[in-house]
Amino acid sequence: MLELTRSKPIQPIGEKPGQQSVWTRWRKRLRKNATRLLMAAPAVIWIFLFSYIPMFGLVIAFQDYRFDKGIFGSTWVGLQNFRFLVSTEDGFRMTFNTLFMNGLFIITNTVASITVAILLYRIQRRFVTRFYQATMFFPYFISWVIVQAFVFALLNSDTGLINQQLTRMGADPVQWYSSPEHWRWILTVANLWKSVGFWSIVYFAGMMAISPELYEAAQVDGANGWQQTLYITLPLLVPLVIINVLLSIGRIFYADFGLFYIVTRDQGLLYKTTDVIDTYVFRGLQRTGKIGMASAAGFYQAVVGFVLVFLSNWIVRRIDPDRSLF
Amino acid sequence: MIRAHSSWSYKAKGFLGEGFIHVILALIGLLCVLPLIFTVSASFSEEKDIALYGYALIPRSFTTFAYDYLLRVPGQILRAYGVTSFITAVGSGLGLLMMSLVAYVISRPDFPFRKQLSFYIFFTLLFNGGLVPWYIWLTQGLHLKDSVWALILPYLVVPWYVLLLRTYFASLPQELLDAALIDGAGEWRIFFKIVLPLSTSSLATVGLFLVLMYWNDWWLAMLYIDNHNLEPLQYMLYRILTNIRAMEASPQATGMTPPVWTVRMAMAVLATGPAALVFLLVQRYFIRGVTIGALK
Amino acid sequence: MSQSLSRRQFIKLAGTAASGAVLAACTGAVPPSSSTTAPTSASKTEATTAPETAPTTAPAELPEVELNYYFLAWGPMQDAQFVADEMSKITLEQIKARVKLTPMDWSAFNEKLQLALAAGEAIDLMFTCTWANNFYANVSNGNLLPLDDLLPQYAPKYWASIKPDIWNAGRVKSKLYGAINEQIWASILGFDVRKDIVEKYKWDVSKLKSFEDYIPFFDAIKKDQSSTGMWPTGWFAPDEKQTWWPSYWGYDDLGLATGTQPYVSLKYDDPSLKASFCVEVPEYKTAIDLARTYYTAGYLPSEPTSGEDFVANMKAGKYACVPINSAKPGRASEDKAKYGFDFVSVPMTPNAPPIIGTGSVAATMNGIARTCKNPERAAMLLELLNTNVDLYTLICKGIEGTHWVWQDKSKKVIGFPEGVTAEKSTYNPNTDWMFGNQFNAPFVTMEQAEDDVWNATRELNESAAVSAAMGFAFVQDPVTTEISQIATVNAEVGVPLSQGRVDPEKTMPEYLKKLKDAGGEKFLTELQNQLDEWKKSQK
Repeated sequence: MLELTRSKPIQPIGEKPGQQSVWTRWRKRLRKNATRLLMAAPAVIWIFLFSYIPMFGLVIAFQDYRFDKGIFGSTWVGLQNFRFLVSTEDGFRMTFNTLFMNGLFIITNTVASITVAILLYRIQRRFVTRFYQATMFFPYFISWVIVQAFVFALLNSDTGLINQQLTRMGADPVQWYSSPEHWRWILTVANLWKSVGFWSIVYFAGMMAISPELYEAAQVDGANGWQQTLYITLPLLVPLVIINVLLSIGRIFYADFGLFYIVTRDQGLLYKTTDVIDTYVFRGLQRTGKIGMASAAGFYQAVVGFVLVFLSNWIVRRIDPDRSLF
Repeated sequence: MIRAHSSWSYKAKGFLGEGFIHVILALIGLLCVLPLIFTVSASFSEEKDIALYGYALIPRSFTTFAYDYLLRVPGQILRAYGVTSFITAVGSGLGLLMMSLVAYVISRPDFPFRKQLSFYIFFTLLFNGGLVPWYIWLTQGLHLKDSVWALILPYLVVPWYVLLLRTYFASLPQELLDAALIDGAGEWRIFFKIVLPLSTSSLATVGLFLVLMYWNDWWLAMLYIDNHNLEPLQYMLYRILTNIRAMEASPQATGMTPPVWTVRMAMAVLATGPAALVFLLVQRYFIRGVTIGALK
Repeated sequence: MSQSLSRRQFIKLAGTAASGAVLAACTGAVPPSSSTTAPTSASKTEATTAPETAPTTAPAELPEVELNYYFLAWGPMQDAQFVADEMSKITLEQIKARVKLTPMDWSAFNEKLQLALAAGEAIDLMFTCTWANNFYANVSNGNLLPLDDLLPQYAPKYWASIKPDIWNAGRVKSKLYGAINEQIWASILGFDVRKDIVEKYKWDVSKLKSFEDYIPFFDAIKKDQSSTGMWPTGWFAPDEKQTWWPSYWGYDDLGLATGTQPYVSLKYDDPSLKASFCVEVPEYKTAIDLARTYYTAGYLPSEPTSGEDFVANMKAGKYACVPINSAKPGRASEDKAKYGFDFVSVPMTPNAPPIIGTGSVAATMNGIARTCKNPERAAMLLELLNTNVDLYTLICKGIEGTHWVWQDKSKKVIGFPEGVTAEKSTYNPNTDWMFGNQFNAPFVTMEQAEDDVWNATRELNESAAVSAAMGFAFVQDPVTTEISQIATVNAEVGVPLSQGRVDPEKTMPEYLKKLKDAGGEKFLTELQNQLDEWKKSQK
């Protein structure tokens, strides 16, 4: 087998169509890649066991699921369970809010964390880089409940620091918790604050994989620091950005429940901009306890994400097939 | 032959000099650290001071009550700490190995099933059968209830990280791997002797995320663990907090309840401490650049 | 990032939401504190007429079984195993069954118990009610066994101790699923006012009988706020309502409130059983206008806070009054223990008498799970929990000497042993009302004993008016979509309205419109049909 791999190391397999039957070709391909398949096997089997088998449970989304009757005995109800997601204005609003806010998060997160990673990368002294990295990672550890407490200390109408400051400056205080228009950016900032440290590490690691020879060559050619960033670092980060954006688009219909529920203190007056699918479903199902409806919501989220990723992936593939996700 | 490289061998020039960079990063850093300082300070404060005067950088009156309360049964804490360390070590080690193996395979451009396999993995990022079928399968199909494996196995392969690793591996100079193949090295050898050593920063990154994921998790324990001896630290702390909150909300009061807010803050500090330490330990691998020269 | 995150966060939230529910629960679930002990006179007389066969079966003939009991842990539970062993001594002797206690935290109770039920894990008894481990959802999911035959046969004394019309509260579609715990059923609103504040302002609390009466008192406190920093009162939960408590205005909310917010109700003494949206009944406007007055006058902080914040602020002395939704006997002494101030309990006595409805009775029940292998024995355990004072005291308070000691045995007052406090206790569920007839529990303070709180509570229950819809339980299956949709409308418009945070003139019509857009008409029609059918079946 080692012989085989050695004989044709680089050429993509399956290049030679023609005389062989499909079956023979497959067998050859399998044999050629036996070691690799073996390497992939543990994860493949794990995924099958822990993800694909329970996925069978998705049928619940189309059932009036009863615990005593189970998956096999419950009655089928078609799309009944999906109705509450789409049949009212609130349903459309939460769909829009989820997509809009997550879209905003994807853009701001990507731009900010790449910027931070580049800045970190450009610092000469390792020690200082590490120091900044560490500080920026702290928010990752602070739960939304605690964030909520600090946000409330800043924004509440009676003793909030922001309003005190506004009054001192002669401006009108703002009733933050009844003004939905401000929460798009408040939540964006909160989300950035929490995740920029995390994502900048991801991109920083990507930069570490860039071969230093490239920079040396550029220096010889007389490129300055920013030119190097623009022409070497950023282009080489593209695959990483594409994969992360594609995956984020896949999860665009899943909202960060903690952010939208806890940080807003679930204030009804803010729903206009802050009600997202996860909070909407949670609220709706608290009382009815219908597993089928919860399952329907999850299915809806996955399908929307799937369609969007498929489209984006198709676009990526049109431009550069090597960069696509699948 | 051996040439060690540092990857910041180029200098910051131009109108955005290093001084400016420091100003920006320091500001962001400050915004990130301030809440942490408030958290630590609040954890050492009297609840009454917070209620009356709000959060402060330095506690108005110093008390360790919240910590005493959380740590009052040291044996229990130590055991929980042991459970957490075990699941974190085994889970992130095993997970990182499994994920990088599969990620390596799908990162190879000449692997014929790479698109299909990537799709197979990606699909599970979106679709899942929901909590109830998952729970039934894990308890009745795989019999994981009340087993330490219930705290490890469910998180072993994270689709996002596999695809992230795939991207990292794909950015390695493929000619190098091909050359090794021509030299007669097997896939295993290439993986362990070339790919892994070249990817310290990416492995450290994903490894850190795994460590934190296992370290911070209480959700699996809540679902699958009834035996208190198998409780990880986070779940134990979490239960203590829930209990206080419950007592506080209880309609039938028999006494004053411990201060929820300061205990919650102390919990955050206790949970952050060791994880932050791991971060600092792993961190030096982030900034280790590619040292291809060393391999030649 | 990963799938697990979103799931996990969901649950974290479930925890948060639970705290709201806890407070909501106070409406009905608020247990009074104390009572006489042994079975009531009613049960004594009835017991003899009950069928004599089953319960008298000699224990020796029965095979030994284990019964587990899943309930909501509301206090320290480390010693649950020891307590269960001690309980088993009694139950083995009496019904040849061993008891296993499975207390679950708030975070786990709703989620984990539902999963266990879905997976068909062996559960015998469980706590289920309107606000936790949702009783109606359990019935519609087929999680509970009917008790109609079991209780009269195997728990005759318990069966006889509760009046038939009260039992109706545990029925759905005329089948009984909930084993009701006797506790406070009638709810009265009011405030616990700090004694020092009453003295400082020299206020005559006997004149505070309605929300209107509090206005001048609150004004006086508010006037000094700049110097004292004290608010007249505060919020208990982010979705706390202020004045629209249906029972206060003579309405029955049919146990259908979402969150803390009722949106349909019917007049408690209306024999025609006509249900309407709250926003359409005349008293609602009065209540909302009052709430608006409270809010604009600044009697409460501008933004509602959580229960945790309320407790912290109250302990720090930032509020003058604790709003209470169940001014049960003995409440002031409980609040003293909780907040550290002396209180005067001031129940409000409006135009309507206290009302008992399905919702207030169904607020604490136990059920026998579908997976229970020995339903007869589980029913016998219910009998013992409700009639055997020693067993009941064990589960409520723990083991004598370890978890509690007699402070005054003749008065039935207990306290903590030397060196134990509420914080340090290793077994103190603090939820007598969850396990059985609360009037069997010992008192925890001398005040309770002196006021004879249990008898006072019983009298209150007996003097209360029973709602015309008492015993009606709504089957929500036909309109689950509508209920889910209404939940958002209610939280978005109904809650701010009842908090006085928005202009009623403008928002009330909007509320009604949005309710109807969310399928409110269909919901209301279904409710009315079920009510009409139920009324027919009652004849």
